[in-house]
Amino acid sequence: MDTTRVIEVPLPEGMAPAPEELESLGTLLRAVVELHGGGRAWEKVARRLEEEGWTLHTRVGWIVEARRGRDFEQAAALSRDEAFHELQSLVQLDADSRGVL
Amino acid sequence: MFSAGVRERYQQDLRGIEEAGLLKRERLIESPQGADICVEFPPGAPVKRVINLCSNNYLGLSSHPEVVAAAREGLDARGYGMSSVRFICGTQDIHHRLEERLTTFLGTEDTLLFPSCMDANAGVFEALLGEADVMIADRLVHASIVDGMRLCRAQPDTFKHSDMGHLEEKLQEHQDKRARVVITDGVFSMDGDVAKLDEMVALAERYDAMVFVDDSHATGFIGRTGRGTHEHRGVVGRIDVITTTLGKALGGASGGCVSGRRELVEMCRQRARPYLFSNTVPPVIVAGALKVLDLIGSTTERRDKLEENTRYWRRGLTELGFDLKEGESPIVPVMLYNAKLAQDVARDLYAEGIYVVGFFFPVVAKGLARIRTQLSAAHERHHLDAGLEAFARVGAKYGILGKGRKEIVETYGA
Repeated sequence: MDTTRVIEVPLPEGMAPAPEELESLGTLLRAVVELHGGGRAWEKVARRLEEEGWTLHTRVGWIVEARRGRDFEQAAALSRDEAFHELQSLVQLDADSRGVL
Repeated sequence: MFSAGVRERYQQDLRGIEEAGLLKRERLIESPQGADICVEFPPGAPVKRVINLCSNNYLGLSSHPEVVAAAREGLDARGYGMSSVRFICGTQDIHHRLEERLTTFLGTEDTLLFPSCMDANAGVFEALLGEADVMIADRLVHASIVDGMRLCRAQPDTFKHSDMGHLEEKLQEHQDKRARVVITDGVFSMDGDVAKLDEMVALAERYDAMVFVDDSHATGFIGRTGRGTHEHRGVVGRIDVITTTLGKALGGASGGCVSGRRELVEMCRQRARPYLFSNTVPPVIVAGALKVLDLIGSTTERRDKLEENTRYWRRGLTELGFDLKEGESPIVPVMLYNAKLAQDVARDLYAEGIYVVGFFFPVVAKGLARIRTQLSAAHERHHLDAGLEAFARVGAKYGILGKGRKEIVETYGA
């Protein structure tokens, strides 16, 4: 018996989702699927951490990355605004004073 | 495994650095540090005696006979090394004595030694702040502060260099944070300008923020009695954390410290990883540093001479027609704007017997290449006159005397 369930939402005529809208949709659906299955290795890690006294929170958010040559910065936050704000701060940290002696 | 492929990758990276003109080469000095030094450069060339205008030996104490003698006595009395971190069996009475002397000199509540100021800056933020806090740094702070901020969970943010309006905006923006720390150098090492600590402290008090200052390029000579930038700006006792170094004016060997509010220093003693997991300054340097504090505590003669040397040098270069960064510290940048020009001028000055270094991107911003000259109390008038004569000859050769940024860039490019 095929247990695959498919959700179909017809788009209004002329609507063309932007790539980031599709990315958001995909992320959301992956998160829902994760809640109901997928890899379970995390549970073991989480249990051990809780046994060691850690209080855990899992949230879905934005990861933004900036790369230029060897330089790489990454920031994560619940909103894209916050994530980019942090990314900018990280980039700016080194922008003017990278080699100051 | 360091395979042939891995080796090739690193060799390629190094070639890339060299091709970009960014390879750093050390010059061998075959004499004690001082106003006159003997240098072998390039490697294999005959040793040449040159006037040193690029060290941080601001007070001329790096090879001072009394400092050397005190260090030797310290070596005899307390040995060479401690073979332990501070909190196991690596603290001698003289470490505490030096911390007390630094506290008195800086006008703070307590002090903790670190192996270097680089280590102090790397450890202090993580020890004091957490994810609920924010660090707001001037955009030209020293690289060690940037590294320290990256090691800390508090939110990093920056304000435009010395822009108090922008700092105020940032302080307003971060009122929701548990703690705010304003972070700055006292004297900025590449431009030589002095932080507006008086305005910064006023803002910090208005917006309930702490103030952190790295005073490495100021301790010992900035301010009427050389206490540092906080003395110069009239805010002694109102700076929460000062980090500084023993590796520049205070004898120039190595070592640094965190000095400030008692509780903050104690937190560093409990939590700062470079303090906890590394040996501290060796006895020989502690003994030398104690003598340095004796010398600069008994008279302001050396910082006064440095101030006079700086005035003389700045006036001389200005009269010759060089384009200088405005400032009042013994860091006097001669602006050349073009990276190749900065290197060529430095090379020709070396041929004239003047040791200076050209700085260009990425050490300074693109199009702001320069030669950073640094004065010392060890310089006598004849050193400065010889330096000015050499600068005049080399400046004339390149046709840059009396020229400003626009004209230099028109001739040589940015």
